[in-house]
Amino acid sequence: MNNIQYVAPQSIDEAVAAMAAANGTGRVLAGGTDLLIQMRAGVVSPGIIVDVKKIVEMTTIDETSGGYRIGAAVSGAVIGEHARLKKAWPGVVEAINLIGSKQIQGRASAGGNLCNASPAADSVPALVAAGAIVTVQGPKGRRDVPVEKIHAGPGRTTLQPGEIVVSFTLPARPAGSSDAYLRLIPRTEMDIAVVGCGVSLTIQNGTCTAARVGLGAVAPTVLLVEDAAKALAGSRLDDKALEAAAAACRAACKPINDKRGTIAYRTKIAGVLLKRAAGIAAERAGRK
Amino acid sequence: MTTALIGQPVSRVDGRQKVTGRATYAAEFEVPGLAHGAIVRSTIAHGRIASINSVAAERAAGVVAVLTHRNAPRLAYRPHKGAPDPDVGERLHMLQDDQVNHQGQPIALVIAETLEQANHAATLVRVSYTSETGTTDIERIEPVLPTQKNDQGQVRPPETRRGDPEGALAAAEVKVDYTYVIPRENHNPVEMHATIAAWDGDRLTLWDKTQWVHNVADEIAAVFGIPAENVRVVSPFVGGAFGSGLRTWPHVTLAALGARVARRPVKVMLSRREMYYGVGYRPHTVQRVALGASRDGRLAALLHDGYQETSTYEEFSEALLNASRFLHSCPNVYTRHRIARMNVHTPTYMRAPGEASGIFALESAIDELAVALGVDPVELRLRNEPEQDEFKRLPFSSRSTRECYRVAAERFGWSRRTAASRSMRDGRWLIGWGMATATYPMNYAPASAMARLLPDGTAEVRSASSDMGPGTWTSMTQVASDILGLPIERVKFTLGDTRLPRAPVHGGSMTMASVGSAVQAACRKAREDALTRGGANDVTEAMRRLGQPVEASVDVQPGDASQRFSMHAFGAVFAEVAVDPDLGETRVRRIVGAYGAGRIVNPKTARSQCIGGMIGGIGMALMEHSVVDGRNGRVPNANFAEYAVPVHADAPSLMDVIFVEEDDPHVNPLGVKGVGEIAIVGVAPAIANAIFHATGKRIRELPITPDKLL
Ligand SMILES: Cc1cc2nc3c(=O)[nH]c(=O)nc-3n(C[C@H](O)[C@H](O)[C@H](O)COP(=O)(O)OP(=O)(O)OC[C@H]3O[C@@H](n4cnc5c(N)ncnc54)[C@H](O)[C@@H]3O)c2cc1C
Repeated sequence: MNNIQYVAPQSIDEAVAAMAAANGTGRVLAGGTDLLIQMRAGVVSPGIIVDVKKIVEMTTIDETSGGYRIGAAVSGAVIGEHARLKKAWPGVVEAINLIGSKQIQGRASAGGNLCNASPAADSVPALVAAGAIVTVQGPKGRRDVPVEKIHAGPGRTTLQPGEIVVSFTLPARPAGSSDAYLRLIPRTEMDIAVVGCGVSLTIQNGTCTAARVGLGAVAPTVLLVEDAAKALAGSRLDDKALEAAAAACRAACKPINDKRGTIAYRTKIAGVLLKRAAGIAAERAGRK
Repeated sequence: MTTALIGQPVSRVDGRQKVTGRATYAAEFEVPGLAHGAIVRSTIAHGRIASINSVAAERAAGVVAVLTHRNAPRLAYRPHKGAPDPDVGERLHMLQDDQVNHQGQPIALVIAETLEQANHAATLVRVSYTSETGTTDIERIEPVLPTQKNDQGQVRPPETRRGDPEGALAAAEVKVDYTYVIPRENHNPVEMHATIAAWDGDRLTLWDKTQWVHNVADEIAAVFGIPAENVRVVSPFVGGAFGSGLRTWPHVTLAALGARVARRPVKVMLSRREMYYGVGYRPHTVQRVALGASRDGRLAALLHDGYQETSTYEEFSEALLNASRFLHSCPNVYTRHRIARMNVHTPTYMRAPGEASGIFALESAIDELAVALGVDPVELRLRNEPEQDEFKRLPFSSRSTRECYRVAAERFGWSRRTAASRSMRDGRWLIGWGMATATYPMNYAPASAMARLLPDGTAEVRSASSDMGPGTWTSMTQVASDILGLPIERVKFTLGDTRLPRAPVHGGSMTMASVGSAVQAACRKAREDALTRGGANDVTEAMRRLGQPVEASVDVQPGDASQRFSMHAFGAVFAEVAVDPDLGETRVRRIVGAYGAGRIVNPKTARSQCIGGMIGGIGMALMEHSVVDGRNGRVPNANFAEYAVPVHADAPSLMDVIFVEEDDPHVNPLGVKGVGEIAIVGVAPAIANAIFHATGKRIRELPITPDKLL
C-alpha cells in the first residue's frame, strides 16, 4: 500500500521513460476500470502509476487516408460519439460501447480492454475481426503489431517490459464493407461475455470477397478464426457457408467450464453468434 | 373528522431525504475521534489457529491495536437468544479461542486511524492453521433430523404424516416424483453492513444497520455482561437487508470490542466480499416432492422431503415444508425436514425464508402433475382448493386464492394460452406462460408505541421499529395521521432507536400488523384522551384548548385468533418468458401477481414491495447462485461482477400487481397480513413453469442459466 507514485506525463516518450525507470513495477493507467479494481483486490500493487490520459496522441481519434487511428486511452463514450468512425466500423464501436455501463464508458478505453488481457474482453474480437494494427512504443522504440498477437493468456500479453500501447489503426477498406459484434451474457446488461464474436466482411455483387472473424471467451486468448473467414470468403453467405463458418468457430473453441457457461454450451454458442453477427455485418454492408 | 389516509398511495415521507443524500445510514454517522476496524478472516473452513503473528501489523502506519484470540479481553457471553437466533446451538464467540468453524470467520481485528491503514495492516497479520477434516460440500453430507422441534413459536415439526401417503402414492393413477435443488443465495442489499461503536464508561452506543435495534442491544449487553439499558442502538435508515439484518452478527461485537480496547469509537464496515462470509444467506436446499393424483386431477398423495445446509455450531431451519401441509387439499401427506451440518457459517432468514424455496419445489411439482394429467395448471389448483387448513384443522381467517387466480388470469390473458409446450412463438423466440400459487403466514408479535399530541396540533409517534425499504416510515405516519385526523405533514413518526418503545423484529412480514396495530392503539388512546380532556370533537381544537401535551403509550398483544384460525396471505403469480431456442437465454417479459393480503395500508409502497419481490424472484429463477467451493467453503463469486442479480434491464416492462379486496377481521386490529415476503414467493416457480411451457424442458435446479436449456 505504501509508496505508490503517480505521474501523468504529457508525452509518450516521458511515459515510456517513467515505465523504464520503474523497473517492471510500473503500470499504465487509462480509465482505471480494471486497474483500480485489481489494486483494491490486492491482485496488483504497482510501484508507479503512469496515467496516459494527458497524452494527446493516446486520447484522440484521427482519420488517416480512409482509415482511422484511435488513441489507446480514448474512452468508450468519446468513441461512441464519433459519427464517421461509427459509420465506418459499427462493429468495433458497438463492441467498445458494450463495455460496462454509462459510468464505465466515461472511463474505459480499448487500450485498457486489450492490455488487461481478459479472454472475454468485448472490444478485442471486434478489433481482431477489423484487422486492427496496434502501435506499441517501448524502450526500444516503436513497432506495429496485429491486435491478435497481443494476448498471451488470461491476464498476460506479449508486450515487452515498459511497452505501452499507443493506438489502434483500422485500415481503409472498399465500399460494401462492414462489421458487427455480438456477445452472449446471462443477464440483459452489465455482465461478462460467455462468448463474444466479431465479424468483418466485404460484399461485392452479393458475394463475400473478404472476411475476418474474432472469437472471445472461448479460449485462453481472443482468437482469430481463419477457417471461419475462409468459409465465408467467396460465398454468397448462404446457409451452407454460414454453417461451415460456424463449424470452424466451434472447432476453434478451447473453453473452460465455469459458473457462466459449460464447455459444450460455449462451443455451441460460438457457432450461433457467428451466424448472427455475419448476418448483421452483411446487412450493414448493404446486402439487399 | 377522518382524513382516511389508510389505503392511500402516499409517497414516502422520507423519500426526499433519501434521494438528496440526507438520510444517514449506519456507516455515515460522524462520531468524533473515530478509528476504523478491519477484520482478518480465516482462510480455512475447519481447524485451529496454530500461530498468529501481528507484529508487522502493529508496527504499520496508523495502527492503534490488533486484537486476536490471544490478547482480546474475555467476554461474558451470557446466554441470549433473540427471535431470529436458532434455538439449538450457540453463536460464535469472537476472538475467544483458537477454533475455526468456517471459511471467513473473524480471527483478528485491526484498528487504525484510517480505513486504508486498517485494511493494509490487516494484510500483514500472519496466520498458520492446523486444519481439521470437515466438509463444505453438501453433496457429500448425509442430512439428519434436527434436534429442535420448534422454532420461534412457529411449529416446524421435522416429520409429519397424515393418512397413508406412501400407500396412496403407490396406488395413484398418475404420479410425479422429482428432486428440486436451489443453491445458496445471498441477500446482497445495496448497503453493506456497518457498525460504529462508542463507549462512555460502561455505556455503549451503537450506530448499526439492523432490522431490530432492541435485539442488538440485548445481545451486545449479554456478550459484554452489562445491563441492556446501557446499550443504545441507533438505526434510522437501512439500505435494504432482506433478512441479513435480523441477527446481531459478529462484526457488531467486534466493533464494540475494538472500541473498548482502543478507548475510542470504532467503525467496522463490511466489504461486499465480506457480505458472503458474515451475515447469513439463504441455505442450499434439496427437496424431493412426490405427488399422486387420480385421473381427474384430485391430489391423493403429497410427499415433500427436504433438507438444507446449516453450520456445525447452530441448527438453523426454515419453513421449507409448511405450505405443503395446507396449500392444496390432500388427504395423505408426509413431510420431512432435515439439516446438513457443514463447516459453513450459519445461514439465516432471507426474504420468505422457507416459503420461497419450498414453494418453488411444490409449485413446480404441481405444474409437472398438470402436464402429466393434461389439465390446465390453474384448473388443477382449483380442483384441489381446500376448505380449511387440513394440517391444523382450522378454518382460514380468509383465503382469496380463487379470486387471485381469477383476477390474475384475466389480467394476464391466460385463456389465450395454448397448452402444448413450444406452441407459442414470437419470431425466433419461444414464448412460455406459467403460473404458481403463493402464500406466506400472517405473523403478529407484541409491539408497543407512544403517541404524543402537542398544543400546536402536531403529533409525535414513536416505536423502535425499522424500515429496511418497505416504507415503514410512511405507513406508520399514515396510520397515525388517519387515526388522529391530522394532516400527514403534522405527524412525525420516529423509529430505529432503542430509546423508543419496543417493537418486534422487522421481519416475517409482521411490521404492519404488529407495529401498525400498536401505533393505531396509541393514537386512538391519545386522541380519546385529548378529545375528552379538551372538550372538543376535533384533535386540533382540543389540543389548542388544552394547551399542554397529551401522551399515550400502549402495548399490543396478539389475541387467541391463531388458536381458532389458520392465517396466511395468498397469491397467484403468472409469468411470461421468451426463450431464444439457439442461445437458451431467457427474458421475463411480463409478471402479473394478485394477492389477498388483507387491508393494504399504502398501495404505492405495497406495489413497490411486490415489484421488488418479482425482480428478486427473477434473480432466484435465472441468476442467483453463491458458488461454494466444496474443498474449503470459499465463495469464488463473492462480488457483484460474478454473483448475478437482476439489473434494471432484466426487469420486465410489465409488472402488474393486484391486491384483491379482503376484509379479514381476525388477523389483527388493522386487518393487514403483510406483503413483504409473499411478494417473492411463487415468482421463481411461475418462471420455471413458463420456461417449461416455452421449451418443453423442465429445469429442477436453480438458477435456470442458458446452458441448462440447450
Ligand atoms: C462495472 C464494470 C463493468 C465492466 N464491463 C465490462 C464489459 O462489459 N466488457 C469488458 O470487456 N470489460 C468490462 N469491464 C472491464 C473494463 O472496464 C474494461 O476492460 C476496460 O476496457 C478497461 O479499460 P481502462 O481504460 O479502464 O483500463 P485500465 O484499468 O486503465 O487498464 C487495464 C490494464 O491495462 C493496462 N493498460 C491500460 N492502458 C494501457 C496501454 N495503453 N498500454 C499498456 N497497458 C495499458 C493497465 O496497466 C491495466 O493493467 C468492466 C469493468 C467494470 C468495473
